[in-house]
Parts: sequence; C-alpha cells; structure tokens
Amino acid sequence: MEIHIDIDGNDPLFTQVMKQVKHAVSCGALGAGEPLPSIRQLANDLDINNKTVAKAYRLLERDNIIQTKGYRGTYVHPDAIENCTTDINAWVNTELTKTITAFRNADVTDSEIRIAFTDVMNNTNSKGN
Amino acid sequence: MTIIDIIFYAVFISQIFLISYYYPKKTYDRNMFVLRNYPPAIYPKLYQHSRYADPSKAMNSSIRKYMLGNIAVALFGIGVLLAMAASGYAPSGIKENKHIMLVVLFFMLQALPHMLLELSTHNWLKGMRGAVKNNTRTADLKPRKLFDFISPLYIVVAVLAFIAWGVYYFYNKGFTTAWDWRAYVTFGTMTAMNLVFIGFGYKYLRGQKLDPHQSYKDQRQFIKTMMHVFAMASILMSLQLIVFDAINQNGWDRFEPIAMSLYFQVVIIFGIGQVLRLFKIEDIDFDVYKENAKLV
Repeated sequence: MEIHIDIDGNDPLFTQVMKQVKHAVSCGALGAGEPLPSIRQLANDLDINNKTVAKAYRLLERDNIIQTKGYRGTYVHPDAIENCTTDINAWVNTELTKTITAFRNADVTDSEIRIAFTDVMNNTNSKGN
Repeated sequence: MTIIDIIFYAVFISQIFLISYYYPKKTYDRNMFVLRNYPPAIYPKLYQHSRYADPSKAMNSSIRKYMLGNIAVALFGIGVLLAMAASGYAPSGIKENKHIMLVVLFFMLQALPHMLLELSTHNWLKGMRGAVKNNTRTADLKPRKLFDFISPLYIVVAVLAFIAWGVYYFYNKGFTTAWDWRAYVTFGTMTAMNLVFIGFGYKYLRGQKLDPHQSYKDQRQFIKTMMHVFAMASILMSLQLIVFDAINQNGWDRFEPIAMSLYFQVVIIFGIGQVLRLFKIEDIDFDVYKENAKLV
C-alpha cells in the first residue's frame, strides 16, 4: 500500500498523510493490527520533516485510527474502521455552532465571544498543535 | 620450494584472478547488459542526470575504465608473481610479520578500481536524485524491520564472533595486563568498523531510496543484500583477527600470506559476489525507468 503526497497541494502535509492512512484503513488496504512504518522511515521516504509525520501519527492516535505500542512500533487500531467515519473537525464545528448560537441568543456580542474564546484557549493547557 | 610455497603461489594467482578479473568481468558484463538492453530512448529515467550531458556515454566510459583498471592491476599482479618467483620469494622461510605486507598492498591496489566504481555509482545516484523534479512524493506503508531482511542467526553469529575475538585477544594478552596503544587501536578499529556497518545498515533500512525510481520490491531486495553483506563482513573480520592472533601466538608466520590472501578472497566472494548473487540484474524491474512510469 502506497501513500502519495503533493507538496504543493492545498492541504497541509500532515493532513494529507492522515487522510491517506484513513483512506487505506477504510478501503481495507490496511487491516486492524497491521504494522505501520516508523516516523523516521515514512518521513525519509516522503522526504519531509519527521515532525510532520509525528504530528500526523499523533492525530491519528488521538482519533483511535492507530496505536503506538512502545518500542514495538505503530499498528492500526482494532476499531480503526469504525473510527475512520468519525470526523472530529465536523464535531468541533457542530459543538461551536451550538455554543455560539446560544451566546448570541443571550445577546452576547461577537467581540465578547471572541475575547472569552481567546481567554479560554489561552488559560487551558494545550494538547499540542 | 616447499608445499607451503606452492600453496601460496596458487592462492596468490587465485587472488589476482578473482579480484582483478572474475568479479570485475561479471560487474562489467552486468553494466553492459543494462546499457545494451535498456537504452535511453526507452528507459530515459535510468539516464536522467543533473551533471552529464550524455549520461549513457559517461556510464559506458566509467565502466570501461573500471575494467581496464582491473586488467592493468591483474597484469601487474602477474608481473609481481613472476618477480617473486624469480627472486626466490618463499613464504615458508618467513619469520616476520612484515612479509604479509606484499599481499596487503597488492590487495589495496586491487581494491582501487572497485572503490572508484563505487564512488562513481554513488555520484551517479546523487545526480539521478538531483534530476528528479516532482511535487508528488510516494511512500510504502509497509514497515522495514531488520529481521524482515536478515535472519537473527546472522546477527547473533556476528555478535558472538566479535565477543569471541575480544575474549581470545585479551586472553592472549592477559586479562590483567594494562592496555597498550596497540590494544586501543585494534579494539577501536574493530568497534568503529562494526559501527560503520550498523550505521550503513540503518541508513539503508530507514533512509531514503538511493535510486529515486527503484521499485519497492527492488529496494527490499537491495536492503536484504546489503544486510547480508554487512553481517558477513563483520563475521569475517572477527574470524580473520582470531586466525591471525592464533598465527602470531603459535609462531605460524609462514602461513600468514596464505591466510591473508584467502581472507581477502573470501571478503570479495561475500561482498561483490553476494551482491551479484542476491541482487540479480534479471530480477530488477526496469519498467520504472520508462518515460510514463510513475515515481514510486
């Protein structure tokens, strides 16, 4: 199974890697429990930075598409196929829309929402970029 | 002339033949086969190069120079052999280590065309990578792990051979004796050589493909070949030092030129020979070098 990335593409490189791994899982090219290449191997093969692949892997792990088993390597998550259908960005959009709509209904101004949003973002611990 | 002298001359002739004619001829034929059967008109990507205006001519020229260089060394070796015979060179009378330098120096001369070809191949692949202008990058999602390419037995034997040599070396020197500069140099060189093998092995295993167009199947076969070459080189290096320590310890210096020559031949058999055996030209996928082939 191969993945292809376009370095001039509109999507960021880590998103392209994520999408292609998800696609490989959802179309059955990668089965549950199958091993994945190491970050260094994939980064070298694609001639991109290790951090880019590490970020893609971290997000895939968050979404339970892959799982890292220490020194043994990275594997496809047992529930990867079901988890591939979950679009976390769509979920964030839905939840934010609901919250912002509630604020607006309570006559909170957009600038107050923005300031409050920024404050909350700054005051909570980031889980990574 | 004793039987030892006769064996030495036979072994030295074999060294000349094997290292300066047999394997160079096989390498030359392999490269010429590629030039004849995979021309630039049909396989342009094989000849894409950022440095040469006419890459196929440059390839042809360097492989011819390689063969001529080897023939020149072989003729020189025959000359040396005749001079040795004429001057009555007899290893059976050797009492000092320095006499093996003849075999070592001649081997270094023999290795020169091989090293130049290796350097030229390295530059060729570098130019090939430089000539690839593609915004799309591709990678295989199959992990490359060491034991997918080589049996753990080879690695275990290589480690045991290294330990065996270390134990034998220090047993002969005396475990409680302070290390002199010779011990530091020997131990340092052995460790450094093994680290070089590990470094290159890791580079091939996890690093980028040297040939940007190479198929994944060929890349895996190449890695497998190189892993076997490195493991065998490490094992042979340790065994050679054990043999030479035994020779020095027991005063068998008259066998040293024979042992040294045999060692060099075995190194070549498991080096170049292994590459030619495991990485066969007929099995390589040349379609990846065609004009419309996608970069893999």
